[in-house]
Amino acid sequence: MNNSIRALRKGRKLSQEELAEAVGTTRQTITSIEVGKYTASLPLAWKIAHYFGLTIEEVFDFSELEE
Amino acid sequence: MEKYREKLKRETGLLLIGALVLIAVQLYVVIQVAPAMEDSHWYSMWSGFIAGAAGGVTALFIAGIVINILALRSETRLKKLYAKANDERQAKIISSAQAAALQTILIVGIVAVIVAGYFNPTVSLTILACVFLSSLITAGFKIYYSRKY
Repeated sequence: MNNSIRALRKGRKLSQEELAEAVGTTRQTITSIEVGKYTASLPLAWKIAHYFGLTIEEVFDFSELEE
Repeated sequence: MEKYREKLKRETGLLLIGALVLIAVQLYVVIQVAPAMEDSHWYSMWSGFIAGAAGGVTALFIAGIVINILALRSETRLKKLYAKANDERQAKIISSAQAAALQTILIVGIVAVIVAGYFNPTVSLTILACVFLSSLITAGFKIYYSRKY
């Protein structure tokens, strides 16, 4: 699933490790989510969106589900 | 995090008990049992594979104890260990790998039953029993988790 996590993270000058620590997961999971290889669970997606002060829909692209 | 801290303390205790038991068993065999069987097949086996395996497992237990103690002393390390232990992606990888492995083992097992049947009926029946038992246990857990979720 496409998302804007990398752009949001770089905008705040955060490393993947720092974001992972902030949301309670591992750097490898953040990497996989950013490149779209792994789809985050609802709780993790909420934590990531909440960390950036955004809604889930603003961080993750759900357009492929609407097709 | 407090619950995880308590869980880690229990786990460390169990690892310590396991390591001490393994060391005691190894010492007992080396000092008491092996010399009495010096010329036997058991002694040569013990001095090789079994000693290495027991030593390796003991080393893993001790490594686990050290990692847990270091984590219990540092909040940062504890959070990192918690994140690693509860990582959802890792859980999905393990779950998917186990499901694929089980399917593969069952298929390979059935092929082995057929091939072995041409050479040795006892071996063929043994493999068949293992495949059947695996299928039965898998079906049991599927029913359990279907009701749970």
